[in-house]
Amino acid sequence: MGTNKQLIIEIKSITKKFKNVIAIDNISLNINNSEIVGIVGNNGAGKTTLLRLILDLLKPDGGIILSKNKNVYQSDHWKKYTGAFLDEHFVIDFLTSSEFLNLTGQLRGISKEEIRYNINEFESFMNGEIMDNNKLIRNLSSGNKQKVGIISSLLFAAEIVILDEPFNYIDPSSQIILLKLLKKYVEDKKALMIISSHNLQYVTELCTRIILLEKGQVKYDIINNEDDLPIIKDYFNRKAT
Amino acid sequence: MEIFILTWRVIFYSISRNPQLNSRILPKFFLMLFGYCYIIISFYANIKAFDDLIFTGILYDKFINYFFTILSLDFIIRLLFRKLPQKVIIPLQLMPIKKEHLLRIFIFKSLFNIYNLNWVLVFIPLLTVHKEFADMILTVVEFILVIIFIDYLSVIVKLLPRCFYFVIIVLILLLLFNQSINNEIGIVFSKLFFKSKIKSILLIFGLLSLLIISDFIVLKLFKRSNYNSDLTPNYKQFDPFNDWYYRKYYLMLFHIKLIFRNKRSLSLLISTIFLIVLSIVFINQLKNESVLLNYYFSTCLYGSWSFTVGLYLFSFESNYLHFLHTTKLNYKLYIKTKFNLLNIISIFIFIISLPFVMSNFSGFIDYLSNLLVVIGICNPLIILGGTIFSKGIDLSQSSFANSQGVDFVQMISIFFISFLHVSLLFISKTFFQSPLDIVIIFLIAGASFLLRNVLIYHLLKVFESTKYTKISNLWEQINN
Repeated sequence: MGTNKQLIIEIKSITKKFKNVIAIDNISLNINNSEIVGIVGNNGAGKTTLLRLILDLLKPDGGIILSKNKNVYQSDHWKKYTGAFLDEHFVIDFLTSSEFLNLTGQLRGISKEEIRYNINEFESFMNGEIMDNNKLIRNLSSGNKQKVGIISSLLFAAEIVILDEPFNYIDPSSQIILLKLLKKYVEDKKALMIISSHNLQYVTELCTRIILLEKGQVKYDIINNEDDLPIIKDYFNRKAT
Repeated sequence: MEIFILTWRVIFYSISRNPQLNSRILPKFFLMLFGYCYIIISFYANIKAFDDLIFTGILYDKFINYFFTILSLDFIIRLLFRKLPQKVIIPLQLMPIKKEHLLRIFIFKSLFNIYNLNWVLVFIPLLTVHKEFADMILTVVEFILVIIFIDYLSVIVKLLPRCFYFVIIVLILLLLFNQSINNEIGIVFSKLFFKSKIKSILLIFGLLSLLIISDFIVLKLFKRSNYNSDLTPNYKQFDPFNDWYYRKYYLMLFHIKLIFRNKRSLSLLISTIFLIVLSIVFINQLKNESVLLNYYFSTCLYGSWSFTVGLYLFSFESNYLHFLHTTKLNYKLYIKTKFNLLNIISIFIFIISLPFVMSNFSGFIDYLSNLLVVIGICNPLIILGGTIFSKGIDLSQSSFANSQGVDFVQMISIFFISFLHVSLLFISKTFFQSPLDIVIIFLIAGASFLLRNVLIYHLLKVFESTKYTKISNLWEQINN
């Protein structure tokens, strides 16, 4: 990836509890631009909770998260350059796909021509099933809803993109297309991407850095290379036996 | 039996997801229903006690005289808003139940909606004009059968669009016939319709026969459409992105789409129409009789939208909270849009209802003061309550037996807010001479309206400070 590394997200001693359960336990991370970070872990490890904390959808019980040196809880400056899609509540299901993407663009101050141009990049990903069909998003299949959400997060050239299980529900061909799209996106825009996924194959193919969470703590934080990758695979093999 | 258990669960949505909610939801629902019935019935009973049935008789007379007009309007509303339960039925067809039974149960179940409930609760107290109990019962049965028939008719027209023009011609004939209700033929027909027991029984049998025929037709059409139709409706995209007014009013357009494209908000809209019609009827009857009640009902008229939908305005976004809080949205503009929406609708209702409620210039000033109180005082109070107390809501569920999205205290507070103008008027009339009392009302309401930006500023603070609570409520709702 690019040589001009810049610290974008700093997570400092973040803790989050839900009643008596510690979901995130004193995690500290530094994430630079042009990185594709994969967050993996078994169910209940705290992957989605960590993403929600970064997006200020949860208030931490301790620690802070800085985005470009500003606290995400105290200002909303990060919303200008952050795109995210975690679940169906990130799309407005009573709009059609076109209306929703237009609204997303309108809120970011993007012109109609720019949106059309940007949407054209995702033509193969959409496979002719999403735009111009006059169906509300809630009436689309799960895979197409997922596609709409992912496209909306990438549409306005966000510097930070956060995706939770982006490969779920979509067909194998689209998964391969998505893989290439995300790689190209980070290369072209020098963006930072954080992805959580259960699909180890795609995570290892896509991500430059892999963080493994276990019970709210960082178990491993490795660079994706031939030497360090077996650590992750061994971990899951051990857990399976 | 399984269908009825499933229907029970579908009706009481929240209970089916979490049995522990039984103890919270059921008492609230029955208390609300009891309160609603008590208020309507006691109101009519009091009127009856005071004026010896004169007022109720007048209302009943008006209702009968314009019965066909009312039915025609009812039919048009059903045609526009009634949905067919196709999506619910298809997965159940795998069960070992005859298709006819399945369809019949779901069409019958769909009769139990809040729109029909309004009809019944409003009409039944009018029946106190009948001296004999048997007459009352017969009229109730006639009325219910007519409503069911109109419902079936709307389903038939939806399933068979080609007969739409034929139905429109019949409607026009009915409306014309209703205009002639005061001539000999009209009087004879109205006597035939509602006066004799034997004729009532004959009419009931006639209506039942019509219902059986309609049921047969609906089943046939429904089965045919079940296989052929695309379940998901197409929406004409309305997104004039390039036009200047879209750039300026995209949030207003967004809220309008929200109201019309979701089941919950749409059913609330229908309740609003009901409240409008009812308020106009009452105002016309009370014009020269009771100033305070007149003011009360005109407050209900102009505040009908606010009273039915305003409470939920801040709950509606619970379905897309994550989008809202991770997007660079102008929250001030967002809240202002909600506020403006309430006010614009109130003004719109004021304008279209003027021919029905106003008879002279002094009346105009009175009704204008009512509108100003609604815009300046009632709407801000409702918005404030909605911001503070907003709860998670599933917009795909109908309003019937569904207490999601609003606190019980909020619902009761609507009654007190609607009495606000009457209270203000009473106080100002007690302490000030006319026309100073109206001037005082104008000043208070006007000042409140002018200070709306201060309110919006405080609403913004509440909106942002309750963000984490609302999001965790949403997750609790999802997990339950």
